[in-house]
Amino acid sequence: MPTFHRHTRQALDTLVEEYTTQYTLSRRTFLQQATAAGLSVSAASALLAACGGSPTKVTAIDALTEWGGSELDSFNAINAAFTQKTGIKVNVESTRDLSAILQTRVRGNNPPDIVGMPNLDLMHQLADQGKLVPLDKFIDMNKYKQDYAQTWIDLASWKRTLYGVLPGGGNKATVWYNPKQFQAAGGTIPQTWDDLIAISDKFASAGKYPWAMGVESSSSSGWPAADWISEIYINKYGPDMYNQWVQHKIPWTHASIKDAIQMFGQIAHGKHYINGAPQSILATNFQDASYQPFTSPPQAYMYYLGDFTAGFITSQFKTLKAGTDFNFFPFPMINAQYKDAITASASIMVAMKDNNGSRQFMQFLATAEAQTIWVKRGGTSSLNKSVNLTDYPNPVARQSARILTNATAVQLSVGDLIPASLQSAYWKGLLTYIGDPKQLDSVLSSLEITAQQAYQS
Amino acid sequence: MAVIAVQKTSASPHGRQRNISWLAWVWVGPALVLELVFFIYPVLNTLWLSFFNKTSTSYVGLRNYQRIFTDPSLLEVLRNNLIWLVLATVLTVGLGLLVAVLVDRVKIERVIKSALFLPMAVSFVGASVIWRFVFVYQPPGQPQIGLLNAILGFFGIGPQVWLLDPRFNTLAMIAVYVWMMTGFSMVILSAALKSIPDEILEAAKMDGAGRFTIFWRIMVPMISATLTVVTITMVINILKIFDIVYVMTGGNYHSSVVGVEFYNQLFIFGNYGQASALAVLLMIAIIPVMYFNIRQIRQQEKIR
Repeated sequence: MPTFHRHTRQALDTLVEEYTTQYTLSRRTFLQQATAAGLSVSAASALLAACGGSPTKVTAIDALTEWGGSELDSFNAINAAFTQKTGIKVNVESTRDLSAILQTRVRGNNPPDIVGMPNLDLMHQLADQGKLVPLDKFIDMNKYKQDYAQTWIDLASWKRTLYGVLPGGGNKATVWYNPKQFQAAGGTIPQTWDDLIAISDKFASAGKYPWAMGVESSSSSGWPAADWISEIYINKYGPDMYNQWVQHKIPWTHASIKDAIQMFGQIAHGKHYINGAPQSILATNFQDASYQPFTSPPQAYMYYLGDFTAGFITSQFKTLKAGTDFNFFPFPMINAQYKDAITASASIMVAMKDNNGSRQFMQFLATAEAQTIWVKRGGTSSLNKSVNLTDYPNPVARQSARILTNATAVQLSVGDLIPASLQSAYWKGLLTYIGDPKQLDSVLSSLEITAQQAYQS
Repeated sequence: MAVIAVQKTSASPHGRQRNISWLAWVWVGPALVLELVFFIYPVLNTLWLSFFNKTSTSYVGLRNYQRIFTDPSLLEVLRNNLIWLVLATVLTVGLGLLVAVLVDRVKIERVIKSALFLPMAVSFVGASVIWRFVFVYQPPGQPQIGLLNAILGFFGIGPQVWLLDPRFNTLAMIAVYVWMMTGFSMVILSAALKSIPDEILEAAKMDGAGRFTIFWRIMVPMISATLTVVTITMVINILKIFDIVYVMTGGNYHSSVVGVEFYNQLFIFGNYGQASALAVLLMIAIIPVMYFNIRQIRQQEKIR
């Protein structure tokens, strides 16, 4: 039945535009609104098929990412495999200034096809604005649920819609050490936090520096300290309180948060624990600090950072062998109830344009086949349960991946889960705390004020 | 901004006068259009956005401006800009003037001027990276690879964390700016000094004036116009400072300035309202300087 009425025509035009450019309408809603506007059911479904049915065909897609160096090389290896499989080229743009470039492109209505999210807050914002392509329309959800634990699916979703795939992740409950030097100095692997302090004191009284620590990272300085505190918190207070902290259901001035930071302070400000503390902690880059346990003679004995540290160590000291010259022990237990809770890192990629290129890419990236390419090159752990553990390049990486997939409770670091302005204030606050621990209370109360503003609009 | 003087010929018919005025608009037209599109419209849009919230969806009135003057971290940003303004301007112009005067009649004048002007060829980011290495800190006992700490080590003083210590980092970054821009002010002031007629200086000497008197009472007043222009240029540059702070400390350790804070608010936090408020504030701060500048130009035109 031809539609000549002007208002109906307008309503249908708006409906079609909304459906094809934004991603807030589901097929059912579309059909409902179309029939409400006056079309018959068959006409409405014909319209639906015409605009949402087959995606536009492309020969190349744009990918925007923050990765550089060896990470970028590994990503490109996956892209090469994708191009070989489907014939669609992937043009990668790599920049450390991702937030700025992405904001500008989104505002200019020229988003990339695929983009790696720098933090979850941005993903949620973009999803709310309808700029992300929901993946459950075309991805094989059964396989996805098989391959990934529910925690990861929840992480990549927002408001119960799946938006992201996770090309890789990392275990952050790892303390790195040089087994030979460690044992030679009389150290034993600590099982609990008290053991850890005891061993640190033992090294300190023998005139050695037990810990290396560095939080410098240009404008994001402070994040390694945030990782420390997140790990301590989830180990002591468990995933439920952790979530309450992240969602601001408990204030930043809560006693548990103060306690976790002060436990971190036990290490950062421990007597003779770190050479040149606290200034050297602030001045040393987190990558440079990771080298300290592995120089000869060693400048320190233990270093806490996520499992991507293995990449730093092997690229700086090419002759070290995994397992014998460098290894990690799991973060010591603080509260037996939350023994297997860990913090982790995960990279998330989302699609911002819906075409056959981005659809196939998202599908491919989630599979074990694609992720094994990166796993074999080293430097990441896969969150995909179907990836073979034997594909990891060395026993250290294998062990880390095993812990990651077997953990009972996994969460990203608190800094990665809170809004960007709060994250920045949190990191700056930690820098202040490291420089002067007496300022902890004022740091926490100003963080509470910032938090209230950050969640306001 | 272009100032067009439209001449009216006294003995011309009425129609001809109107013709000439219309012609003036044609010449000014393209510049005016560019001004409107790339300056007037963005300014008005920014002003508009500053009264809205983060995603520009709801009106919040003066809340963003209130935050600037009550939030401690934003107040700190304003305080840092003030320190930059006062110290950096005084140092660049003062040192430039000093060197210009001292080097005026020295044989190796050209060499010194070129050496002092050379840092301007480096980009702000390049200079910041270089100077970061000068300020590097290693814990005491380790070899100091930072130039400044190595020199201090010679005198037996322990290494300092220049860029992380809130007492020093702003001063350290101002030093970088002064290093870069003193050459600029020196070259311009030197040219102005050379344009002072010799007779006046000789007459002053014959009247028994000492060196300092000649400098303060004769030289400075005579180059006051140039001095004003150089100072105003420096002030405008300094209020906009971003690269040095962003590269050297990232705005951490209480060293952030309005430029860096604007960048963070807009691109990292996505807070369009707050970022616009900061931009408007910066513009308001520059208006008196621009007014002074234009008044200066008008006075110059009148003299001619």
